Amino acid sequence: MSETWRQFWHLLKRDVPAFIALIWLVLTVILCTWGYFTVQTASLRQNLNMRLIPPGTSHGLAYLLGTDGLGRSYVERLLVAGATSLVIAASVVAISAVIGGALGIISGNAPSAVDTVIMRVCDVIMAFPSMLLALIALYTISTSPVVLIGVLAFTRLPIYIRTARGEALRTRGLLYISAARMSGTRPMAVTFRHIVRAALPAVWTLVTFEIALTMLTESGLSFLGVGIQPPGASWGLLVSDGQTYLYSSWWVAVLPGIAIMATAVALRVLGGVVSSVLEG
Amino acid sequence: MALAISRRVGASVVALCALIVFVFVMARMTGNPAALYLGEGASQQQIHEYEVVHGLNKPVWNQFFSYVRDVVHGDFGQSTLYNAPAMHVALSRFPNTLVLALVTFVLGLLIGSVLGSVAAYWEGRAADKVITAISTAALSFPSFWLALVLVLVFALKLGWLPSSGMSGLSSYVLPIVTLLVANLGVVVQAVRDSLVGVLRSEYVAAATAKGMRRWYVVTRHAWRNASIPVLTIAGATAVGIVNGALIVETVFDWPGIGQVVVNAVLNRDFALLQAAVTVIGIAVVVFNVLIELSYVFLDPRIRR
Amino acid sequence: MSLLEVKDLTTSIVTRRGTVHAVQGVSFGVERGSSVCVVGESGSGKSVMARSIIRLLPREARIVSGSVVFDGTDLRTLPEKRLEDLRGMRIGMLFQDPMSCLNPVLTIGTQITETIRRHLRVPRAEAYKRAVELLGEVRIDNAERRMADYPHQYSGGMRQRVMLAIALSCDPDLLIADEPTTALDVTVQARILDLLEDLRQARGLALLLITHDMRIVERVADQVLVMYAGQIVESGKRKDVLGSPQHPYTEALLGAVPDIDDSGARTSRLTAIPGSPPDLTATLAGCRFAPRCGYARLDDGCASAEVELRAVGAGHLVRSCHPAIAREAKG
Repeated sequence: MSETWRQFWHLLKRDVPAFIALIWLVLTVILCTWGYFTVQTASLRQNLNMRLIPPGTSHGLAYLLGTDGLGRSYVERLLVAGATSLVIAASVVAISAVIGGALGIISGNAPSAVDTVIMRVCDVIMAFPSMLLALIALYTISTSPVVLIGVLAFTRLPIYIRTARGEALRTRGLLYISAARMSGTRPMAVTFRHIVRAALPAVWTLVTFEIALTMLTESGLSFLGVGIQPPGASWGLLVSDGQTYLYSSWWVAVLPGIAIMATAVALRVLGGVVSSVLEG
Repeated sequence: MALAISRRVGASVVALCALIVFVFVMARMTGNPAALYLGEGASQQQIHEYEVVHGLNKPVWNQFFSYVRDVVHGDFGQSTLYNAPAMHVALSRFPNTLVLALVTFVLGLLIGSVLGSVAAYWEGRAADKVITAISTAALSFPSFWLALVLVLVFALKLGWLPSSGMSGLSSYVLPIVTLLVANLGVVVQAVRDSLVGVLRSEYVAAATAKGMRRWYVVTRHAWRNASIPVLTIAGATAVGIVNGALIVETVFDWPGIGQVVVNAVLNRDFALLQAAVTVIGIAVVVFNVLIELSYVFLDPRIRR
Repeated sequence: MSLLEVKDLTTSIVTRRGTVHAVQGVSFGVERGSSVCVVGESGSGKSVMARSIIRLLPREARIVSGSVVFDGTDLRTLPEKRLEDLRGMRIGMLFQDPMSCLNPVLTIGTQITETIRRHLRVPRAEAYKRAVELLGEVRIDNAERRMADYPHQYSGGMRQRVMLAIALSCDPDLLIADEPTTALDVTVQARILDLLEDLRQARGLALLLITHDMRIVERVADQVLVMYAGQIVESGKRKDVLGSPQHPYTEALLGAVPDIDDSGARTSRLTAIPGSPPDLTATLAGCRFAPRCGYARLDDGCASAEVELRAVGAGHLVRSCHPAIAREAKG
């Protein structure tokens, strides 16, 4: 593992965009976590005398990025919303990676009938337009974060199943598995030790890219009004709120969008490095 | 080959049926449509009449079978929101979305192929790095946000293009650009990665060793092979365009089927939702069949 | 003057792990109509060397120095367009894996005729006629009918025959064959080699054949080059190199071939070479083979000082501190 980290660090040092991406992500995570625990109530404090102040005026640090339509500090709003966006994306990816990864490994080792059923179900899930499914499910069941996470995790399962299955099939064919088998280790132990270890790099790479994608989908659903509900906030919802003031106060809609985009770009850039370190 | 076709198309058909059943189950599970439609002040009598008219007083499985029977006969019931036959509303809006989707798909494939080929041809050079960076950014734009920024700049500030609605050619520009950006990101990376792989293959080396001109090797030997995996991904982007249409049509107030779906969901108009989902589903199935047919054309290995 | 004269050819490949010095100052010549075999383990740089000749290298690879003079023209500095005119026309090439070197989406006929039309500028019908003849020459049955088939409808051996037909389609002077039989079954191997030899002799074609199989060398070679870690370690006529190998590495390679006498019993023991070839990303000094050499000792300095190729007989060169001839003289 330490070797992997060293190689990761070695590549990062020579790759300026990836380095910037890492700094952006670390800062975002730290600031949003801090924001979630310290300014959450402050971020909801309205001040109608301070409505729609543009960024960069000298009203103190809390008004650094201006205020929204209800006079709330936009820095604080962005940090709290960011925490929600990140937590949702991370939960979705964690759930679908674990379940999908496990199903993929099972599929790759199961009798062909089971394997076929799992793969066909994947085909069907992939044929759903995910936004449409999520839109219907969220509106009819309830627009709670739990349903949001569940639906998004469900639509992303196939990609983990396919990846993990591919790795499992590849690994199973490799010589060291048969060697381990012949040396008398129990088949289950072999499966778990070798195949999981061999499937992890591909899944990790996928996770990095998928966090970006999930964040975009969540923000889209929040924008349509079926994701995160007020007074909660996510970056997508902030953009939606900002629509009203688009002409007069552009920053309300533009800033959270930049946050989404920068974070998504950073994750994708970093995903490239992760992929070249882990998968060679 | 027949198997491959039936697999992909079959998956879309199953997904379509599942979605219709899902919509039905959701519709019946979540509250009383009559009460919702008629509002808080409705009397028992009004609600009862509404239920009889819409068959809501029968058992759920009974409702389901009569629903399936109606669907098979092409009868999706009455849209409560538009007060017109649901299928009629869905079909009348569908062409507006189809135009957006087709233009996006074709432009995405054309521009994406050019940019992806340029990047692959000069792999690792400046052109590749710039194009890869742009496509990464394109993939990371939240489409609703991009739509708003485009409206802000080109409609509100510059006043060059209309900010919403469908009126004349200029109104197509912003919705298409918005849909195109995300689509292009996917296609460029698919074309680039596929072509990079093909250009490193032995048969490209062999064609070069035969003395074929570089341009000929790329156009005649590499492109057709590279297009096969690109097609798979392009097929998957159809679903992505449907997702995009939901948002883009909402932002631009575009009278397409995506807007119908969003309105139907927000107003609990389940007849309309079912009709719209069916239309979208059939369109995706037809699209997949077309993709499969182009495989047959491109790859002799799956011909018999 | 030789048909092909390679001088001090050095090719490096840039990888993420570092720069691989795949070919390090290789010099040799190929006479008109003669056959030269290059032998060595995988990773000895022989394939990169062969591909460097017609600059058929991945973009990470770069020819650092040296010259490749083919019939009076230096291919290393020749503009790409002029080189394209030469490839396929005067120098044909065979590849290791016939399963992957034919384009899967183009018919066999197309892949032969496009070469003919490109170089000989003949009408379509004439190119077609010539392609059918060529398929007959490489002994494909029903040649006319099989022109419209795709590569996946051909077996491995047949695909290599097609590659041979393509390589020979414009009557080249030189054929570069990079392990052309390695990927094939043993029986198919023999038939392809026979065909290659027949056609080569009938046409007076020069052959540069890359292989790791000493039995092929024995059958085909006029001249033998032994490569190790990017360098030529021994070269000479087949009779000299195979008959009295001088380099410990050549001896080991020959030892690794089971020698079967008339009675079918093994007369010499099958010996594997202990150790593995050096990492070519490192800057190496001295004899590259020293760590695996049975004769090298810590104090003889051959692991630190550069060892030159030295003549041990007429046209027989060896790069070793411990050639067989010196060992015999000593002991």
